[in-house]
Amino acid sequence: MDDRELLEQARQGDALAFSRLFSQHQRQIFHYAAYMCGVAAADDIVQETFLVVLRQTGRRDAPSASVLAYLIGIARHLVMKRHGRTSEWAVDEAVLEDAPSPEPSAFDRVAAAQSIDAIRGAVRSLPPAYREAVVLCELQEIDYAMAATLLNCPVGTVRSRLHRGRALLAAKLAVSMREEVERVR
Amino acid sequence: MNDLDRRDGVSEALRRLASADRTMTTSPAVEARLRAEVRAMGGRSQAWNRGTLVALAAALAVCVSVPVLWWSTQDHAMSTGAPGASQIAREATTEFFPLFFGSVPASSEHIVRIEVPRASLVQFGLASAHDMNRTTGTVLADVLVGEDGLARAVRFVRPIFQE
Repeated sequence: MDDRELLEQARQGDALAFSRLFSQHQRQIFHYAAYMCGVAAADDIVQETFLVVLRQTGRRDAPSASVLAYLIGIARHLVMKRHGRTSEWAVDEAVLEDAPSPEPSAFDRVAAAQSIDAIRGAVRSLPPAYREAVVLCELQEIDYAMAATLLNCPVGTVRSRLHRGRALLAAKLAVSMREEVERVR
Repeated sequence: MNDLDRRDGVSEALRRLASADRTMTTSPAVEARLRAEVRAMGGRSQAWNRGTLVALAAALAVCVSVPVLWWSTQDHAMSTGAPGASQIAREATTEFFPLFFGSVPASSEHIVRIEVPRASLVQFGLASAHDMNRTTGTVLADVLVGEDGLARAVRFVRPIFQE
């Protein structure tokens, strides 16, 4: 049974189908939610996302994209609702396209060697729009086309957000590493 | 350091993060709550089926009541064949009488129109037992059914025909 069939069966209250659907996708939804609104809220987002599915008892329409994209789309809606301030997510795409990358730093080379907590903290500190692109495309390995569908924007916008997000991340990791070096001295 | 080095550094950091994140997962309590919800859904689905049966049973109970006279002045008109729709000018209805599941909350309701024996009227005080032996035929009733299929109330309908 493929994902779409599982979704349809789950909507009808099929416990086995629901269990399989949940097992296959809960982790990615949890990760997305944890990065977008914190680990403490991630459980709630996952729960609400699947409750939305369970309450679609009358629906038989198949998602236009993949089921995972569909579920993350629900989660995204819940995350944005929780944030309450969509302006936080707004990005001036024109500025973004022209934004210069931060100057290369000697600390960039050691970014990969930083602690997981530092990397995770740096990702979480990115502005939501960039963080979302990084989480979806880098950590979840969702392709650009699907990410564009999810984010309701052109593929080019996904690419530019990702580019900018990575640049900001490099800068943050460099700062973090510099602070770490200073602390050790 | 060139851009490629920078990208490689960030890519490596993100790869490590993605790998470490594999241990992050939804709490078992969430899955347990959702499983309970699915079970409840199954229960509601069964309840709906039971509810439908109950609604039918309620309608049947109305149907098998002892025949009585209802609105005796309409007796002749209502038992002399079905008039065409164009002949029905308007309807007179009784108030809704609560049924057994009348107190069960419902988020939405709809009305199902059925035909029931005139006998049904006795138990709602719309006709006397004295008249019951003189009455045959059916009357119209609107059954108020909740989204769960349980019948909440019933009212009786009297078509008023044009002369």
